[in-house]
Parts: sequence; C-alpha cells; structure tokens
Amino acid sequence: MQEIIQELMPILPEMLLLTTTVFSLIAAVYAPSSKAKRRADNWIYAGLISAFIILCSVKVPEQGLFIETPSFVLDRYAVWLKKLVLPGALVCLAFGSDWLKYKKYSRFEFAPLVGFSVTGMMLTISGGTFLMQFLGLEMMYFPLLFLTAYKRLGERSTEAGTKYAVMVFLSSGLYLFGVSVIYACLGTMDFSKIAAAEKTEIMPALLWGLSFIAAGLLLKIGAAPFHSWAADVYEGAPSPVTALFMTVVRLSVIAAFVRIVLEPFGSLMFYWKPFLMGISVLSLGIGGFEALVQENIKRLAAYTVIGLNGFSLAVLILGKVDLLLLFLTADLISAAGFSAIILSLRIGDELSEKISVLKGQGRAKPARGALFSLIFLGMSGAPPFVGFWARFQLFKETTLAGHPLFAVLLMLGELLVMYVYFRLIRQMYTISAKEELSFAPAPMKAVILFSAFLSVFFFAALGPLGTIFQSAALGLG
Amino acid sequence: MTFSLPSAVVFLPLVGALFILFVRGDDHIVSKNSRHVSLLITACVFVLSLSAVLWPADMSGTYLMRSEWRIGIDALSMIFVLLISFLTIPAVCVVRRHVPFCVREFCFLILTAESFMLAAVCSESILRFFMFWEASVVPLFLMVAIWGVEKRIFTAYKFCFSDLLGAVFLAPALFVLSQKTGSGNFADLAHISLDRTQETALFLCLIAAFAFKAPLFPFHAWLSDAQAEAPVPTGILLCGIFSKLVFYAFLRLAFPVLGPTFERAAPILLTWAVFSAAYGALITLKQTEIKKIAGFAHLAQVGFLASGLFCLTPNALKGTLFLCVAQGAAITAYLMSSGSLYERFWAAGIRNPTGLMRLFPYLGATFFLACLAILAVPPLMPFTGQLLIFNAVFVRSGTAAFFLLLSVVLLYASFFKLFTRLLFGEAPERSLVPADMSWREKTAAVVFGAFFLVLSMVPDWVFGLAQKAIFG
Repeated sequence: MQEIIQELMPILPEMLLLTTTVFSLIAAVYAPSSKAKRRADNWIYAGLISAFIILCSVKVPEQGLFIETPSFVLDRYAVWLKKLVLPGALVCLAFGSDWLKYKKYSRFEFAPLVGFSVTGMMLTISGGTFLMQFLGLEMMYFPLLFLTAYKRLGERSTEAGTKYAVMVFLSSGLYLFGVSVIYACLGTMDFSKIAAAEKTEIMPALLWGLSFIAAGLLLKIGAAPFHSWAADVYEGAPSPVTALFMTVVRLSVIAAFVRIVLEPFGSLMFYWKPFLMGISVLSLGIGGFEALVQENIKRLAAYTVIGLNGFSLAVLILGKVDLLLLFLTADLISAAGFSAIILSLRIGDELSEKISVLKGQGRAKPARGALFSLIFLGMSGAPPFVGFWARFQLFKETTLAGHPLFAVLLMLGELLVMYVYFRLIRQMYTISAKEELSFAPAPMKAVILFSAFLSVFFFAALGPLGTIFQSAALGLG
Repeated sequence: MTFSLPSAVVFLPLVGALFILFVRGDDHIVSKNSRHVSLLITACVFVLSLSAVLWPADMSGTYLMRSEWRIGIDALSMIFVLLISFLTIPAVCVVRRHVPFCVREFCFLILTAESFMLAAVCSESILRFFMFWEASVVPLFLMVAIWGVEKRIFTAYKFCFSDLLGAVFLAPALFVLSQKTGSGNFADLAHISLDRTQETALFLCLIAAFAFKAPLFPFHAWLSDAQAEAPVPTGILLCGIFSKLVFYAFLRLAFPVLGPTFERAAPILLTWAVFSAAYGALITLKQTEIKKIAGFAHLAQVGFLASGLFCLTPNALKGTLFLCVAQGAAITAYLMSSGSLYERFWAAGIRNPTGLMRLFPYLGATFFLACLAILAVPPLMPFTGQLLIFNAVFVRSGTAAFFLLLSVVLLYASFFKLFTRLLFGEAPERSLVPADMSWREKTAAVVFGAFFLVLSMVPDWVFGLAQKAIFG
C-alpha cells in the first residue's frame, strides 16, 4: 500500500481533486435542493485545498517524477504552476459562489465543473506526451464550455458559449492534426523521444505539424492574430468564469505551450523565433490599441490578456523559463485583483460592466480608490509594482540577446498598456462619481486587498522566488 | 545590516508617505495633519542631506557613504540630493493654497516622488538608477492628471509619454552598459571597452533619450505645458527637479563611457542645443500669457544647460551643474509667486491683469524678482552658471556664443514687455481687489529669498561640490 501511494504520489493531487469532484456531484444530487449547492462547493473547496497541501508535501527531484514514463511529469516547473493554479481556482470558485448567490441561481453544477476543469489544467501542465496533454486540454475545456454558457437563458452567455465551443473544437482540431503529422514523421508522441530524435531530414514536415500545434494552442490562449473570439467570450461569460479565463486557464495553456517549445522542439528555436516575435509584437499592439477603445471592463480584460500573451511569448523566445514563471506569477496576482474589481462593480442590485462606473470612485471612497489604483498599476507594469519586474527583466534580456529593435517594440507596447491603465486611474480621480458602488462582498474585498498588497510589496519576494524559479527552470528542457 | 545616512535620506520620505495613509479624522484635520507631517519629513530629509555634506569623509568622487543595498552619496549625487530635498520643502509648503481636495493623497505622492528621485541619484547601480527614475514618473503623472488645471489630462499624458519614450531609448543603452561593467555599478563604467558600432548605437540611444527627457527642440512640447498646467507643487518637482535628472544621468554615465564619441559629435550637439535655446527665446517673444512666457523661457534655459553639457570642458560642466541647481531654485520661486498671482486672479475673475505692483505690491515685487532669477540677471545665482557656460561656448565656437547671447537678449525683451504691462501698467479701478501676500507667503518668500541671495553672493559652496563632482 505504502509503495502504491509512493508510486502514485506525483498524480495524487489530480486523483484527489477528481475524486472530490465526483463526490461533490453525488453529494449534491442526493442532498436536499436547498443544500445541494453548498455541499458541492464545500467538496470542491476541500479537494482544491487538500490537493494543494499534498502538492506542497511532494519532494520533487531536479529531473522530476514520472508516472507511466514519461506520460505524466511532475517536475519543479509543473509543481510551481500547479501551486498557482490551485489557489487561483479557489479564488475563482469563491467568486463564483458569491456570484451565484448574488444572481439567485440555485444550480449546483458550477463548482463540480470548476473541479473537473482544474483537474484538466493540472494534467495539461504535467503532460509529458502529446496524448496526455491533449487529454488534459480537453478535460479542461469541456467544463469551461458549460461554464461559459452557465446563464443559459442569457443571450450574451449562450452566444459566448457557442463562440467558445467553435474556438475550442477548431483549436483542438488544429492541435490534433499537428500531432498526427509529428507522429507520422517520428512514430512517437513522447516529448523525451521526440527531443532525442534526428529531425534534419524530415524538417519541412515537422515544421508543418508544429505550426498546426502552435496555431491550435495560440488560438486557445487568444494570442493575435488568433484572438478574435476572446473579447466576445470574456464579455459574454459569467464574470467568475471570465476570472478563470484571465487567471488559470491562460496560465495552463501557456505552460503546455512552453513545454512543447522547449522540451521536444527546443532545438528548433531558430525556426520558432521570427514566428513568435511577430505574434508577440502583434499581440501587444492589438491588445494595447483595442484596449484603448473599450467601454466594457471585461472586454478591456480580454485585450489586456492578449497583450500579456505578447509578453509571455517574448519570454519564450529567450528560452528563460525562470523569467516566464515570474511573468505568470505576477500576471496571476494582478489578474486575480482585476477580476475581483470586475466582480465588485455593483450598483444596487446590478453588476455593472461599464468602465465609466469607475469614474470618480477614487474621490468618493479614497481607500477603495487607492486599492484599485494599486492593482491597475500592477497590471500596467509601472515601476515598482508587481508587473514591472518581469517586464524590466524581459526588456533587459531581449536587448542583451541581440534583439534591441524587438526590445524597443516591446517597450512601446508596454507604453500602450500603461496608457490604458493610467487612464483608468485618472478617471477614478478627476471626475466626480455619478453612481455609488455598493460594498464589495468578502471574497472580492479580500482578493483586492491581497492583490494590492502584493502589487506593492512583490519586490520583497523577488529573491526567494528567483531561487525557486531557477530550480524549476533546470527541470525543463 | 547597517542603516546608513544615504538609506535614511532615501527611505525617510517613503516612511512618511506610508505614515500619512494612517492619518485619521475629518477631511480638514486629515489635510492639515498630512501637510504638517509632510513638511516635517521633508525638512528632516533636508537636514539629513545637509549633514551628509558635513560628513567627515572627503568626497572625492567615490561612494564613501554607502549602504549594503548599493545606495551611496558622492559629490555628484550630493548636489542633486540637496536640490531634491531642498526644493521639495517649498513644494509641500504651497500644497495648502494650491491643492483643494484629496490633500493626503497628494502629500503621499509628493513624498513618494521625492523618495524615488532621491533613490535614483543615490543609486550606485545603473539599472536601479533607471528604475527609480522611471518610477518617479508615476506619482508625477497622477499629480498632474488629477490636480492640474484646465488641460491637465492632455498635459499629463504628454509629459508621461514623452518621458517614457525617452526611457524606451535609454533602457537598451543602460542594459548594455550594465552588462558590460559586470557589476552593474556606475563606478566600473570607466573600465569598459566598446567597439565602434556599439559606441555609435549607445550614443544615438543616449542622445534620443536626452532630447525627450531634458527636453530639446523638437521634443519640447511637454515642458511648457507641464509648467503651465501642473499644480504648483508638482510644477516645482517636475521642472525644478525631475527635468534636471537627465543632466545627472549624462554626467554620471554618458561622458565616462562615450567621452570621445561625444567629443567628436560636440559641434553638432552644441548647434542643436544653441538652436533649442534660440528657438525657446524666439517663441517666448511671441507669447502674451505669463504661463506661456515662463514655459518657453524654461525651454531656452534648458538649451543653455545643454550647451554647457555638450561643450565638454570641465569648466562648462561645472557651470552646467551650478546652473541646474540655480535654475531649479529660480523656477521654484517663479512657480510659487505666479501660482499665488493666478490664484488671486481667478478668485477675483480677472483674466488680463495689469498694474500688479499697485494692486499687490509685495506679491508683485516677489514675482518680479523671480522673473529676474529666471532671466539670470546678475548678481542672482543663475547668472554665475550662465557666465561659465558662455565662456566655454565662446571658446568652442564664436558663432554658437553669439546665438546663445542673442537668445538671452530675446528673453530679456520678452520679459521686459511683460513687466511694462503686467507689473508696471495702469491698474484698473476695481471695487474688489484680492488681498496681498499673507504672513505665511511673506515668511516663505523671505526664507526662500534669503537662501537664494546667500547662494548668489557666496556661490563657492555649490561650486566646491561641483568642482569635486567634475574633477574628482
């Protein structure tokens, strides 16, 4: 028994989360309807917390732990990302519970769907073969389809759900086709075997397959020019689901993409570079310019995420996994705070999505205004807030890697992002408030407070985080 | 861990800023206490900075006073530390009259900006200098955008993004320089070697950054607007301090590394700087509003400073450093007095004021003296710096010196035109005339004026520091 547990230890958090999710469904089905939702929520909370605790207790060597070598990999890179995903999902679930109560929905499926999706995310992060990664991706995305269309009587939500479904199926199709081509060329789907295989003679076919995989994954994260679905889906989806998209979903897909680029195809970076550079600059430009003209805060969030994807891809070009982890951590902190702001824009009984609601709120309630401003400053990447450190490092590394022009373009993109968020802050203080915001519920308040705090004091954690990220980077590639 | 004097100078304003956030009470009490705490903190920082001068270490260009986190003060940074810590005091003093709402937040931002700027000039690390310098843009932007007048939002964006565009050029240069040193410290810059291509690329980046940040023609649009539209305390920080930091950056990192390249490009750069000065002076002549006149006069003054910088002779650099300090003080005096004037005009609904000396004799006289300081009329403090720069420019190029002199004449002409109408013109008959200076304003004017006059009469003190900063 001891041996079996030891052997299953790497995948134990996923197994536990999956089990609690199934139990949450059973418990909710057999519970009286008034208690079903609470029971389902509690099971998933318990699952997420215990999975996190187990994950923290696993000792991972530098080369990682494997199940069914090498289908499932638990290296330090995966451990850190899962440590981000689990609390991120917990926060989104708390948002969701509050939102369901606020909207007076009595259905209990929200939490189990989040549970299934998070299990998928964790499998995606740990996928050591294309097959496992694909299974993880599908397990992550199917529940998300339902979550997107959760307000099934709402026009916007169902429209968003449909668009999201089209995007998911199309991207999965592209991914599968790419994987098939690579399998046809190399006869394997294992990352380690692909990395070791001789690729020179079959290079054109490999690149062909790889471009399909990249297109599939870039479509999923919403990098330009594959971004057209993002704003509509972010806007139409229920706000807690938008929070999920902004935080953990994006993070998981980027994690998978990074693993593919650096592990099996690290040697092809020469071919990747111009492609990724183009996408990175395009994402930053489109994200920044489109964000300028938005009036809906969820659409603004979508375009900000597109811009952030541009930065993440730029880091990928450098092959700096530690820097990428710093980026994803900082993004998660600011995105969680931003999502909490979206969910706390309540006027009376209405959850407003208009950016104009923020006007004058800084003057009306200085403490709240200051917290919002700190989160916006973190998102903008202004020094010395949370978003700044990774971007500063990125500009530095890009310049030193011999791409000064690319660095300048990235910096110009950063200026655009800064402009967008400075404008939000300015609006909060220069105009008197027309509408009074209601008090934010406890989960949002806690996340806003925590995110604002981290936005300012993130620099204090840079040293210890750097050590963790460097050790995580060693395991990859 | 030792907590050294430079650390105290840098972090004290930040501690004060955090302290202000916890001030409680009704609006009036919060505003009053925030102002008082800020004044106390800025005064303490200034005293600490002064005590750094008296430190029993010889300041021969090395970081003798340093802390573990690579923050130290040498002769060059000392000049800027004093400039920042001194000018923040009047900036805090005028908050009472010029900041009508959210005073606590405003004081918080002033102290944060002061802390960041001090950290920038005290930083031994190249990249930290850059980070802190750019970080100070955020509070300045917010202060202009939220508390400015009329076109504040446009002005705030114009300032912020002109500056950040400069940063876009500066950043790659600093990344490369930092990597080349190995340690990332300013002190090691003198030992690095660069090939011709690298030198050219770095030179172009640094010059582009300088043109945006100083600013020089044709990238100057933000300066005059920022001076006119920012609230008075922010104007002091922005025009008196922030825009001078680029000169610090050049003296600290550009010349030690790219001295020969700058020497080769000196004729072109000098022409550009003189042209910028002449352009500023010429445009000033066309202006009729006080705000605009002072804004473009400041552009001309930046042209003088740049001329001194690009002459590259030790005396010119000494003059530039001296003029930086003197001009910062002159602009502060000007902004304080013009701010008081404007406040009174608006309160009384006067749009085209004339005969100020009869309406407000004290305020009129203060404003007159401040304008003379901006013009660098002898024997006021800026004159000494300007004289050194003229001398150096004349040695390099007689033609450049002629045009620089012409700019001064044009500036005099535009200001004298202003004086005849605004100060000494006929005062209209009005039933409601706003009050002259209050006792607070008179005290501030006397203290500031006395300090200014003492430095004008005895410039050796600043010269001594400048001498050590340039000659080591």
